[in-house]
Order: sequence, then C-alpha cells, then structure tokens
Amino acid sequence: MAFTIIIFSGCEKTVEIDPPLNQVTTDLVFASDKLATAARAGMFSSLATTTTQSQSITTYSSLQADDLLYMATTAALQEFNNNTYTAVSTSQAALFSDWYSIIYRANAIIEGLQNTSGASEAIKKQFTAEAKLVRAYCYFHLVNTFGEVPLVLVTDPAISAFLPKSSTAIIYAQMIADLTDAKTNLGVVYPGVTATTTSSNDRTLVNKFTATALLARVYIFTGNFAAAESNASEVIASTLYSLIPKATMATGVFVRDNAECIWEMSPPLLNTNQYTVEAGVFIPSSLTSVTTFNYRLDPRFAALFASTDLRRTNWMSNVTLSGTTYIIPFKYKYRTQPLAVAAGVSESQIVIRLAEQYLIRAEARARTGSNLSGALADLNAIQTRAGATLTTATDAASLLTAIALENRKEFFCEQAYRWYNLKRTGEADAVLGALKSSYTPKSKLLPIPQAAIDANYNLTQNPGY
Amino acid sequence: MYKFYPNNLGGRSRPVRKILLIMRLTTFLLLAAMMQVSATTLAQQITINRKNANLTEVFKTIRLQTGYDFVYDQDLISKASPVTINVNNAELNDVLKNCLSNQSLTYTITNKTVIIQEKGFLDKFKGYFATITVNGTVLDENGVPLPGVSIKVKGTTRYTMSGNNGRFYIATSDENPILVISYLGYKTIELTGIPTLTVNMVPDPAKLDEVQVIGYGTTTRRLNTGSQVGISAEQISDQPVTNVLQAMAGRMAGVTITQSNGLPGAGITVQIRGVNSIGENGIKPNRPLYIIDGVPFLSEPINSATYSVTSASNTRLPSAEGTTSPMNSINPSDIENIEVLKDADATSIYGSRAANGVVLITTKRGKPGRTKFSLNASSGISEVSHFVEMVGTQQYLALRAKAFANNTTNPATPTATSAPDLLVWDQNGYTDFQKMFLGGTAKTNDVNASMSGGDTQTNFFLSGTYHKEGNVFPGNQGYQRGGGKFSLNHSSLDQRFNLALSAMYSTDKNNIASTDLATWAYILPPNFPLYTSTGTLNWDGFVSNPLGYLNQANDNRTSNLNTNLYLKYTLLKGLDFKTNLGFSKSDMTQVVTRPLSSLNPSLFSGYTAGTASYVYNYTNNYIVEPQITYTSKVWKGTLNALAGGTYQYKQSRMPYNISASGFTSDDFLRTVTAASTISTSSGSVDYKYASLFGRLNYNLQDKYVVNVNFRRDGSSRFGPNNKFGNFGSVGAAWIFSEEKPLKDKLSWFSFGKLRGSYGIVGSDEIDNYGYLDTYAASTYVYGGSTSLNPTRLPNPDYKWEETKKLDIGLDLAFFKNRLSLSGGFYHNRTSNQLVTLTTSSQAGFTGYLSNLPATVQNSGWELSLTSTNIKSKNFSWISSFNVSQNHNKLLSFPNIEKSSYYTTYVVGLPISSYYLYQYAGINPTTNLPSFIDFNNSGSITTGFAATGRGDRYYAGTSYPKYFGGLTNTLNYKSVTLDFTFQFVKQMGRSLLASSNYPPGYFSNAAASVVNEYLALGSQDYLVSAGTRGTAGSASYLAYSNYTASDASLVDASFIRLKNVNLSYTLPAKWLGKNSGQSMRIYSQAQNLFTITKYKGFDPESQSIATPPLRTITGGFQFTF
Repeated sequence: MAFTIIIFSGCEKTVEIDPPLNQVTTDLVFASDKLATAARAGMFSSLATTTTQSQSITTYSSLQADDLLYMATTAALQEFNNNTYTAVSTSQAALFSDWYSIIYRANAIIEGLQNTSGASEAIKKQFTAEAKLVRAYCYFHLVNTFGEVPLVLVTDPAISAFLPKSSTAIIYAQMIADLTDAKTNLGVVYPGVTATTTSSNDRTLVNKFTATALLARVYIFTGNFAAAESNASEVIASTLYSLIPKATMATGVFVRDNAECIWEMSPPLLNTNQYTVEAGVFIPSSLTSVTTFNYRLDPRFAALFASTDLRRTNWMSNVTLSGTTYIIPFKYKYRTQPLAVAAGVSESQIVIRLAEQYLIRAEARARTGSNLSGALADLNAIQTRAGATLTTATDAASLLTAIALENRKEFFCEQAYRWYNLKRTGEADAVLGALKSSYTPKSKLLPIPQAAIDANYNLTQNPGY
Repeated sequence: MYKFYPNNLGGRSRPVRKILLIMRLTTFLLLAAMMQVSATTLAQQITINRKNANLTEVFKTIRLQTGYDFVYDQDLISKASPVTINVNNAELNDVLKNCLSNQSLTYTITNKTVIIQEKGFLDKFKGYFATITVNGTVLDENGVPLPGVSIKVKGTTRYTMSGNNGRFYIATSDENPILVISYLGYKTIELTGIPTLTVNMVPDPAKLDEVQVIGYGTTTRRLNTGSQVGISAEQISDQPVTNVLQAMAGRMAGVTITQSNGLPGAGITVQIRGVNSIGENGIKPNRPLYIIDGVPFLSEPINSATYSVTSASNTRLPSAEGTTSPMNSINPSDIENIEVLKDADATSIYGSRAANGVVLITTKRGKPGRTKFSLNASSGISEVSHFVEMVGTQQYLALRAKAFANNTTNPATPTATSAPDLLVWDQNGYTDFQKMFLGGTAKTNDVNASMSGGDTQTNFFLSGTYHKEGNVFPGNQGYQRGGGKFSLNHSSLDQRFNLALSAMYSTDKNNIASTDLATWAYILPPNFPLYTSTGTLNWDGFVSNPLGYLNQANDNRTSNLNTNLYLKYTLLKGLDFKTNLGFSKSDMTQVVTRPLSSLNPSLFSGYTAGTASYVYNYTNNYIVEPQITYTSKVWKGTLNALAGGTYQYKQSRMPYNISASGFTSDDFLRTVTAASTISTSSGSVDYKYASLFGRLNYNLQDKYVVNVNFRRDGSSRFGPNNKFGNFGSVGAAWIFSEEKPLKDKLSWFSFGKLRGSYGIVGSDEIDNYGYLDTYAASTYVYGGSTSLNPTRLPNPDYKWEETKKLDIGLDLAFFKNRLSLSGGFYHNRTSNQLVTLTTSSQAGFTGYLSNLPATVQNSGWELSLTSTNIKSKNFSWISSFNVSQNHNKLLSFPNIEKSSYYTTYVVGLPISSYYLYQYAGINPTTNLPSFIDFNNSGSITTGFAATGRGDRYYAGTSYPKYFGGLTNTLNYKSVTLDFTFQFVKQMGRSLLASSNYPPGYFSNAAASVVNEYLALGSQDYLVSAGTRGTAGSASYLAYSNYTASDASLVDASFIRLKNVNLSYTLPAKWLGKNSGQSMRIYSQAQNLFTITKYKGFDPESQSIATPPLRTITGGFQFTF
C-alpha cells in the first residue's frame, strides 16, 4: 500500500534513468573546456577515420577521372571506373552521409558552444572557428561531388532532414564566410597535442593558415583569382612551411608532420597507427608475385612523366601479375601497421600541402595576367623540386596549360584534385568523353542517393538520373 | 466420538427435567469443548406455517415431523422472540436457521438431536479448538483410488491432497464446510463436508475446471473471458528439445514458432497472431513479453541487451546459430506449464508490453505428499535430414569452360588466378561438402533429477540437470548446459500467511563455429581442394576456406539466475495482500580466437599471428510487485478485485568488447594483454518501468462473467513528454450451457461459452534513450584528447505503439466433454508505429526514433479441437487439432509517398511481402531472361510496380496462409504413443534466391537451380563467368534479375512429423513392494520426416542454413 502511494507521488521519478555510462548529455559537454575538447576531437577523428576521407575520396575520384583503372569485379567500383553510377548504388550514399555526419558534428559544436555557458571564451572562439573550417571543407567536397546539395547549418532534424537543395553559389558563399571567420579567429601556431603544450609539428589540428589555404582553393574554384592569389601568398610567405627539397622528396612529402604539410589526418582506426588506408588499398601484398590486385595507374598517364621525374620514380611502383607489369600509385608506402613499424616510418594522409598553394598562385597569376613571371616562378618551384623539365613559356595560355599538367602530375591519386580540376576547368566532357565510351556529361555529378530522396520529398535528383 | 443422549421433551416432570437439563447442558458444554462437532443432517422435509408462534411450539412441530429431539435451556427459550414461519417441504437446517435468524440463539445437531444454545458461546470454543473433520476417499471413474487430488475448503486457504490410497483428512472450523475437490482432467466437485466422505470423480476431457494461469492470478477454462492457449509439463517432456519454445510448435493455435537453423542454441522466433510492428526492413523482432514466475525475462539475446533493437549493423560477435535465444538457459523439464496470452482481455493487465502477446511460464513447485525422487535420463542423436543435390564436378567444369568461351567480346582466357578450378585444381576432384561439413551426427545426452516432498504447510522441489548436445559440423563442437532449481512453499498454521521462494540457476557453454558452414558447403566449387599439396589450408581463388572458420574457436558461456519470492498475507477473509519480489541475472562471456591459419592470407598479409575478440555482457533485473486482492459475494455473484503496482529496474552492461590483434604468436590469443593492437568499447543500458494495475472480475452464478483490466505504465524508454500511458480492456463471457433451457437437458451438449473482449495494449519495443541528446566516448585520441561523438538525433516526443484488439470466441463441448472445440476470431489494429524514422542522411544521421502514422491490421481466426475418440479401461485415443489463419496488411499510412517507406511498403498489402520481377520468358533478341516492364521505363528497376516507380510487383506474402498441428495420443495399458504433425501452408523463396551467381561463375549451386535455369534457353547466352564486356554484364544482370523474380517464388508448404513419443511404464510388480515406485522407458523423435514440395534444405528455415535437425532419443524415467 505504501509502495503504491510512492508510485503516485513520485510518478515521473520512478522511470527516470541516468544516461548510459559511456555517454554524456549535450548540455554538459559544452559546459566544460575538457568535454568540449573531446567533442572537437570527435569531429576531427570522425573525419579522419571515415572511409570517405581516408579512402573513397581518393579512389572513387581517381577512377572517375583519368588517373586510375579498376581491375577487379566489385560492381560499385566498376561504376566509378566507367562513370556509370546509379542513384541506388550504395557507394555514393556513403559519400553523401559521411560528409553530412561530419557537418552534423561541426554544427553541434557551433550550436553547443553558442547555447551553453561554461566553456571559456578562448575555447569557444577557437573551436567555433575550427568547426566552421571543417564544415566548409565538407561542403567543398559535397558541392564538387554532387553539385547542388542541401545547406544544413543546424542540428534539429525537424528542419535539417527536410531542407531542399541550395545553389552552389550560396554554398560557396557560406564556405567563404566560414573560412574567413576561421582565418580571423584561429591562431598561427597549431594548437598541438595537448591543451597546455603547443607544437607546430602536429598538424592533425588546424591553424590560421589551414583556413587561408582552403580559402585560396575555394577562391580559385569560384573564379576570384585575386583573392586566391593573396591567400596563397599568405600561406607561402609563412615560415611554418617549406617545400620538401628535392633530395628528400622521395620519402619526405607523405610522412607525418613534414614541413610541406598544412593539414594532415590522424591515422586510421587508432591514433597510434603509422600507416594510411590509401596505402592498404593501392599496394598489393606483394609487388612481384600477386594473384590479384585492384587498382593500377592508367599507363597513358604514367607515360606523361619523364623517366627522370622523381614523382615517376618515387611516387609510383611496378607490380607484376602473371608476367605483365602494371604501375600503381606509391605515394604512401606502408600498407599495414607492422610494415610501417618495421620501417620506423609514420605516414599520415596529407590533406593540404604547400605545393598546392604554389600551383594555385601560379594559376591565379596566369589567369589575371598580373604577374606572369611570378606564375612561372611558382610553377618552376614545383618542377624543380620534382626534378622535372622546367617550363620556359611566358604567355598566359601556355602557362595555364603547363600549370594544369603540373597539377595533374603533382596531385595524381591524391584525394580528388584531378577530378575536381577537370570539372572546374570545363575539360571533363572532352577529355573523358574521348577516353571512356560509357562517359556522358551527366557523369560529372554523382546522383543524389535514392535513399536520401526517398526520405526527403523536398530533395530532387540531379539531371539525367 | 462422544455420545450424548438427549432428553425427551414430552416426558418427565418439570423440575426434574430442569435439573437434568442443567446437568446435561453442563456435561454437554464440557464435552463439546473436547469433541469434534460434525454437521450431519439427514434430509428431512418439514412443512410448517405459524405466525408469531412460541419457539417451543415450533420445535415441537419439527420434532413430530422429523423425529429429532431438542435440548435447550427453558429460560433461554422463554426470552426468545416469537417466530413467524411459512415453509413447505423445507430442510431441517433451513427451518432452524429461519427460526433462529433474529434470535440470540444458535443450534447444533448431533445424532438426531438439536441443541439450542446462546449464540457466541460455543462459537468461541470453535475458534480455539477444532472443528469438523472430514475423512474421505477419492475414487476415479473406475472406482480406483486417486492420489494427488486437491481438497480445499471453499472460501478459505485451507487445503489438502489425497494420498496414495486416495484418502484425505481435512479439518475446518466452518459449521457446514463446502469442500472443493479438483484434479487435472476431472470435473471440479463441490460437496458439503461430512465426517466420512467418498468422492467419485468424473472425468472432464475438456479440462474446463483445470486451473489456468493468467496475468497476476488464476482462473479456469470454464470461467476465463480471455483467449489463451497453453502446454503442460507432460507435453514438454514428450519432446527432446533444448529450448522449451520449440516444444510449442504445432500445438498452439495462433502461435507460429520458427527455428532459424538447426544448430544448438539457435534463435527461435515466436509470433503471436501476426506481426504488429513494421520496424524498418523487418528488423523489428515483434517479440512477445516473457514472464517466468512473475518476473519478466529477457526477450533479446543477452549479448545484444546494450545494443539497438532496430539496427542490423550491431557489432555483436557472430556465432553460427545466429541470435542466441536466452530461453536456452531454462531447463525444459523445470517447467510446469506455458500459457500464451493472446487477446486484450488476457494481455492488457501487462499493458504497454503486451501488444505482441505474453508468454507466461510457470516453473515446477513442491507438492505435499510423500517425498518423491525422480530421475530422467536420455540419450540420442541428431542429424541433418535433407541435403541438396549440387552440380557435380564434370558439369561444373563444363559450365566454367563454356563461360569463358562465351565472354568473347573481352579477352577472358582463364588464368590460374581467374580460374584455378579449371587450370590448377584436380579436374576429377570432388568433395561432397554438405556431407563433410553438415553430415555429422550430433550426440545428445540429458539427465534430470528432481525431488519433491513436504506437507501442506511446507513443501519443496529440488532439481538438477545436465544437457550435452553435439553439432553436425566436423570436430568436437557442441552445447552444454547444467543447472539447478529450488522451490520452497510455506504457509502458517492458520494458513493466513504464505510464502513461496524459488531460485533457478543454469549455465551453458556453446562452442560451435562462428559461421554457419552451410553457406560454404553450398557455394564451394566441387573440385575445391581444402588443402594444398603441402598440407596447409588452401586459400587459392576468391573463396574462403571453411576449414578456416572451423579453426576459429568460439567460446560462448552464459549463466542465468532467476530468483523469486512471493509473500501473501490474508488480512481479512477474502482480502489478501501479496508481494512478488524478483531478481534475475543473465550474463554471457564470449571469446573468439582466430589463429593465423584460419585467416585468408591475401586479406591478412603481414600478420604474424591471428586475432581475437572478447566480450562480456550482463543484465540484472529487479522487480517488485505489491498486490491486493479482494474476493466477496456481491448480490448473487462473486466479485474478484485486484490492485497492484510494479516497479522494475533492468540494468544491462557490456563492460568490454575488445578486438585484439598483433599477437606475437597464436599461443597467446586468449590473453588480451599479449596483443599489441587493442580496440575496446563498452555499453550500458538502464531500463525502468513503473505501473499501477487493477482488475475487476464479476462472476454471476458461473453463467455471466465480466472482466475489466486497467494498467497505467511508465517506461524509461520514452521521453519526458510521453513517459506514461494507459491501457485496458473489457471482456465478458456467457456460459450459455448453464441457462435453464440447456442445462442438463441435452445429452450430447455439455458446455457452451461465448466470450468477447476489446482493449488497448501497447508496445515499448524500441531502443532506450532515443529522447536523450548525448555524446558517447570513443577510444580514438585526437590532438591529445579522447573523442566524444554525438550518439543520435534526439526526439523527446515519441510515445507508445498502440494495439487495439478485438476478440470473439466460442467454446463448446459435447458428449460429456469428450469432444471440445474452441473457435476464435480476432481483429487487431496497431497504430503509432514506433520506428527509427528514416531521414535523409543530410540530417547527420539516417534516422531518429519516432511514431509513424501507419496502422497495421492483423485479423484472423483460430480453431482448436480435442476429441477423446476411444476411452476404455485399457485403451484410449485422444486427438487434438488446431488450425489458424492470419491476414496481415498495412491498413493505412497517410502521406506514405512523402516518406522513405514509400519504397518499402504498399498500403493494403502485408508488411512482409514478396515484391518480385515478373518473369516473361527468354527475350528472342537478347536470348536472356526478360521481365515485365510494369512502368514502361524501358529498363527493369527495383521500385514498386504498384507505385509506378519500378517493376517489382506484389507476388505474395511470406506469412503463412494457414498453419496448425495434429496431435494424437494413444494409450494401451502401459504403452503410450504420442505424435504431432505440424503443417504450414505458405509461399517461400527457393534456393534460386540465395544462389547469387549465374552458371559459369566461380561458385557452385544446387543442381535444380542450375538445370532449371539452363533449361530456359541457350547456354551460349545464359552461362557467364563475369561481368566483363557487354555480353557478360548483360548475362549477369539477367540472372540477377531472374533470382529476384517470381521464378524464385515456390510453394514452401510442409507437413512435418514434428514429434513422436513412445513410452512404456513398467508394471509396478517388477519394481518391488513400494507402490510409489514407477519406471518408464521411452523413445522420442523430433522432425522425423517432412512432406514438402520445397526443394531447398528445409521449408521452415528456407535459404541456405543448417536445417532443423532430426533427433531421435531414448531414455528412462524412474520415480520412487
């Protein structure tokens, strides 16, 4: 009887439970610097470990472009290889959802720090800026992969789940706003591995120049060449970075915390790992006697390099299968943790490196025509480092052609450089149409995943699908 | 007995009489204090008509009419008020009561003498000193003494049981005690207790008066207003099953039991009256609520208690048997009975968790009587009863060669890499992989021992079990279970206080492989060499070597403790206070070690040792349920009222889930600290539940019964806005055979009841914490900090799923209950469908918990029939038959076209439907299978034809059209034969649906699948080795679509001899003098044979999985 009375009086309390032991409620997360730091670590680590960032962005895009050829039978990869993706294939659904899941984390941090008091002002400012940078980075990939997509800036599913597409112009404007904010609010020094000690060596976190470098990239994609040039110049002028010299280029560009690196991803699976997923994907278990492997470089692309080009000799490797020799990407060299440990090398996926800023500035200078000699100097800097033949042309048109080729050579199978640049410069239809019989102009954009359209009646499919 | 000779009222002079009377009264009172007063009344007819008469006058008249003497104190009588009485042919007791009703007098009758005394005087004595004793004998219909019969004094808790010679003795303080005498399978008899009583029991094949367990109480079949069905210990013991749920198959109308495969510990799906909840992609399990002795039992596998119920992507450690049923840990022979509650009347007392039905399990308890010891041991074998004929080596290789010849548009010469089967392996090599991997004989051993005894006040039950079961896979795999159970009942001397304590503990170990080898046995090329020439495992080609999986040690151990304490105190007559306290703990430890030799070297190159996983999960469950019951006569009927509360707290934890690799050697795989790479996760889920519930039951003369249930539930699964919900039902029964025009009028008609109920029940079968906005820690360290990641999209607003149930039933019995029949019709509608609402992944997650406006309807009918065909002294034959039909459909779904469910469900069709392409023959242009392009899009696409978005049309449902079973029990002297046929009429998918590659691929398939496909057209087009080239691609796609077409839809109906039990009870004289001894030897079989047109492994489990096994056991049972 007494018990019954207790139930009556304490109705709500009888069925109240604490959150799971390994979970923290959101209002607590952003009320303390320590937990907010953990949420920010969650955003960065999720980005680094998501298949889309660690692998697909490179493999899918390189197959879609003219760098890479697929040799095995998985239907989804054959679709990328042949540019014949359909709305129901699950691969691009993962691209779509991975980027948006990172965007959710960024939005949650921005909202959480804004709505909750408790975290210090310094933390609020820094983490908000970082989240905006990450958000812009994700939208950059989304727009270049899918074209128009919903611009989600809030976490409330009642709003976010049903947003229609926004135009690419609006999304780029948001990226520029976010990156400009980030550039303003981030420090010059990398935040480092702990809250108290800073180290300019650990570049898995971001600084002012990461935002600046991304801004330069976004500006060149939106045709604002003057802004691209000035931002690239800011990065190049920083003493934090320098191109890895020719002498150590063979092994220096894709290792952790190198001088050329502006932003790198933390290793896959575990922060103590020393290898990259891409190496595991591209490199077969043996270079000399394998039964099967999946990816090889298009021999026509490899033929573009002079035999003495250090990128040909160091960033590519030969694989022999049933007597035939194939060429594979070999930028990252250790396909498993034991191999990297044995070699005593730590590799990280390099997301932004200084070479890109040189080529952005070269292109921006060539496009505006304001500083053609500067353009040539920037181009030559990359060529010199690679041991390649130096371009001597001084007219804008020749320079632009040479810069585009250098871009292709420098950044092959490195995320989506080639694929995005083909589309940005409008060459995709001509180049790929000539190479692949199954290529059609609609192939430039992936179809919006059918599952997303099914769940959001405001979302429309891309043209042609 | 003390004799007392009364005075003759008409005799002696007044003073003498008076002295004598005083003397005698004194003596009487003294004696009365010591003697036991029996209430023997001979039926005497009295007719008397007086107005305001003197009491003495009335007594005189009675004496003259009956010959009974009266003894009384004259002074006492003179004070009595005059009486008015008008009776005709009335009984003495009635007349006396009538006369003394308004007087301060009472009476006693002893040996034809009526003694009149002052009220309250003797009553006092009665309270202190006993009472009336009844010595009786219970006989069965053949006049043979019947032991174990329950004798209860009506309206009290006083009861006893008849002993071995059918004799019983019961004492009561009631003047005219009514004894309720009941025994399983016999009609319940109510008698007035007299000192010497002989009771002749009348059999009741319809078991109308058998006690039936219901939610928070008991009733009888006769008076139950709800719809429920059960099986008893006897039926369970006839079946050699590991999981007691298997014993229900084919025996319960409206209940489908499906075994997912034939491996020990396999998951069992129990579905009661169809699928109410849609979930997404059929993932939602629609599990009933399991209650064991009043304590809710885990319905989900122990190792997924901290996981999501609606997601298939849980990282639960794999085991070949799939999801392990927690019910495995309950020893079937500890179970007294199982009742499955179906309609709202029966289930709504369980409110929010009852929508999918309730399974009430009552375990064995002590019985008063001789201390009995029973030993039951059996041993048997199990095997796969049906294999599939596969394509043989010669045909397989011919198809492979043909496939490479066909792919002419692209250079496709077979190489050692692309076709080791053609170029490397022995061209005459052949292994029957099914025989090799599934062809073993699994041995089963089972021992149960139990002991029970005590008296009516204190009694106990004690049992122990050991069960060992092998596997059909090669090697020494198997399942073992050991356990014990203890139960103690006690009641105080005055029977007002009762206590029942029970504890059950069991532990099991399952070490069968982590993967069902049936898949590999099916797809491996027939000439695949398992070993290389050097004796190591062969990993040549694209397939995994199944011996690798066999080398992976899987060690799953669970333990389960269920304890329960029940206390009852009778506060006043008819008013009881009860409390049920329960605690249970289930845990599971899993270790999987994968030595290097078991890993495909092309996927694990660079590894110097294998990998391992370690997981530990446990769930603690606490429950307190105080209740008050009240029984009282109200008007002409009986009112039973129940009020109670529940508080439940369930705590599930996964302290660790570790994946480890980087061991220095395979020798250290069981030592997690020897791993260099360790990834750990953990989980925790709390669940709280609080309710108030009540029931009012009014029974008017056993003719009209009304039953009202109410429950208010609060569950921690719901957000702050909707934590509580109200549920309830109204049920009624009309036992029309009790009505005058029918009662005892028709010799062939013995019982008729019409019942109906309507009510609302709920379901909270959804993930915990769905309303909570939280972050979860991950072990990944970034920038020096561990990571926190958002857990979900929170939604504070979702609420109960609600099922409205309507049930109408008719129960009939004929020929003295020898033929009984129960029919029912039901109509259930489930709305507020609780799902993880799929969102566009742009929201950051692909869904959040929410209610869908969809309504699912299940309607159907059930029929059960039991007939005693022959009943004679030596031979009897009883048949039971049941059949049920359920129609499931998505009744409505407003705005489905704007939801993600538009591509999953079609309004008006069943939830689980076969949406398939319609095969339209071989296209003469392409020479490949073609399909109807329903939406005229020019191509075959996966959307629904019904919505114009594709070409898959509704070809049928996976739900059975109807199902049921037939059980026959034959007894000849000491021999008993039971057998049960189970039948299911249904459509299913043939092996074609699970054969993913066209003939010519590097993968084998059933001969029927390949040959039927090749018979469609020309091998020049149908055979393909890959998707290279346009032709190869088209051929592959055509085959792929063909497997997803209605060509794969076949009749999967079956009739299965589910169970046979033959037993022989040894003649008592063989066993010696002690009449309590008995010995039974038996042989039992499960799944003996199946009649079906289905060509796959098994029509029940379908697909490619180890089918339910055929088991044959033999054993003996010894009781003394």
